[in-house]
Amino acid sequence: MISIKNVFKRYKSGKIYVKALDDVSLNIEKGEFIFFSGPSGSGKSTLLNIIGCLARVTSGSYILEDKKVSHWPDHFISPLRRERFGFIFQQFNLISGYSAWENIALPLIPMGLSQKERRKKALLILEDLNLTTRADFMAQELSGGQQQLVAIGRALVNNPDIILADEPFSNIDARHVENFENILENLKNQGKTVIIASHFKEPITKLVDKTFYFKNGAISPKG
Amino acid sequence: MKKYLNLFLVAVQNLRRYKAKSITITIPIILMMAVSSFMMFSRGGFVKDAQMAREFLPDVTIQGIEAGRVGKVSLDIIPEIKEIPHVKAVAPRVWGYIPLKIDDLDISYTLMGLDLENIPDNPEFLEVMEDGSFLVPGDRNKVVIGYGVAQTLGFRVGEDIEQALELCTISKDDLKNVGDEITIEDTLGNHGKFKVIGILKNRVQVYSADLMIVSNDDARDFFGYTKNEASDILVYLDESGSADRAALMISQLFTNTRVMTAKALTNLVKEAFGRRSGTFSAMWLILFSTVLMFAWSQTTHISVDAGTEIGILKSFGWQTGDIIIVKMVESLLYGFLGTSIGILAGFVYALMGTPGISGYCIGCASIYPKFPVPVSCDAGSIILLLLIGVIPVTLITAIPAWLAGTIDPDKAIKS
Repeated sequence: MISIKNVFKRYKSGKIYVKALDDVSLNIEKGEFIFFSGPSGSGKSTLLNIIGCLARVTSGSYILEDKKVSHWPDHFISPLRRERFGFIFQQFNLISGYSAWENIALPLIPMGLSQKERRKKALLILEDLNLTTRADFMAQELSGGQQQLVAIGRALVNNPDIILADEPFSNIDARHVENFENILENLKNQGKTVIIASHFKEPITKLVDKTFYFKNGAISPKG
Repeated sequence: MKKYLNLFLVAVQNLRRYKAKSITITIPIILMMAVSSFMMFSRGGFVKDAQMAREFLPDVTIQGIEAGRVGKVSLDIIPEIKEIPHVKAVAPRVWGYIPLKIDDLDISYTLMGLDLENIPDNPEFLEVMEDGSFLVPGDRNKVVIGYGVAQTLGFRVGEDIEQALELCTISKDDLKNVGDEITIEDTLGNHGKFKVIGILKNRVQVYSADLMIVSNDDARDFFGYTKNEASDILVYLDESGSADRAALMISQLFTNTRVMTAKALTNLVKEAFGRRSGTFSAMWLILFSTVLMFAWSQTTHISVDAGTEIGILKSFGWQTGDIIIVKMVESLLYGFLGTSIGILAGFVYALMGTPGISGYCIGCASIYPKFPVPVSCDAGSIILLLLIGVIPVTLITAIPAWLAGTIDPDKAIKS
């Protein structure tokens, strides 16, 4: 399903280039639960962003279901992001000034759904997450755990088949970890591909099918 | 279409969400457009005044010259003027300024005598009466006064009695009515008693505000003119007559006169304000460039929060074009909101009589303290002002909008 071949990624930081990924190759099958492990700056988040089409490769190729998407222009990439991927960020990245349901419905705005339709879809998601009572709370009024649930809801509202989560356990307490694991299990049972990046050395859940260890921008055989 | 409506609503919501930024950008636009609209409405008022007054002006006005200065004109020249081709009517006019002292205020009005027997019938006379009637041939000791004069002298005029009371020191119960008599005694010793038979409408403010119209004979008595003297002679032409040609002939025939066409007199008013509007135009240009640069700097600077927000939206499939549309609509709304409020503020300021700068606007024509700057507002002016305000602000923010739209989502989220 996902094929990463000899991918290099370099960032320009001031006058120097920083090597973020160094000849990375891997394959991920549909429905797999993947764990990217590695310390901060090891390249796991960069690869997650490349897979989610948020960043482009410097060289190498990224093939998604036989389509080489690594060099697609923005107007092809955007619908791909909207239809295929759901992102859960480390900082949740809810947008302040919007309510919980409005945050969840943000990806639906460019799809031309009316406010009524968007709210209906968002409320269904909030119901699944047991958060209906907080639908009209502003993002900044929610607790950390509730914010993460809303972030998950926003990632799922388009019913994507690939879920990408960057350090999803970093900003929630133990009480919510179990809740989140249940959600991930549901997603896996629905046949969705889940990729989690974390600084933890060992997989954080028994759901993981495959683990890739990152070190200095490359995949190492063992963490 | 629904997608664009959604993006429009997001832009509207962003104005509310980024209140501080919205206020920071909108206030300078409001100031710029308030100055601009006040200028346009006031200038329009002066021009409209001049155009309206043009309807009452004779085609040619002849003044006498005595020792190189404007003086009385002898009526002996009238028979010769009547012989000039296309001359329809000739009427002498006696007028002058009457300096008065009312309630410690130094006021100067214009007392004008009209030779109604010789002035061609003008149906417009019926249109300009606020109250009462205009003079008819043979009237003596009767006066028609301007709206501004009526207010200052304490006549019951217009709907806003409270405003009228502010202009005089008379109590509400003592307000005078059309039909009452007034005694005019100026500081030069001239005096007369007149019955007020009508009040002119406010529509020709520059010309009617300080005007008192009496018969020519009454004016002669008041100013001490002889039967053979007048302040000027009014010449009316038939429709095929050329005012310029007639004026040229008159000035060649009578070298000791000053001859002016109606067009020249109208232009005097326009030019007088034109020079002043030039000052405001320069001020406005400086303000305009400052506002554009400010709008540019404000929209170019994308805060970390706003950048992250754009990155998040793009990660959920928002396209570069979607972000640009939202940013452009935001700019359009800033421009529209600022311009609309500015136009309203400018209009209200002009209606309030441009406090603080009215003396400069009216200049030496400032007859008495409460003289208002004339205001004219029409749909064309408002549309023009909206275009002036909205288009440049929207265009100048096109590049910042594009910069915001093309932010790399990966970098934006990391920031």
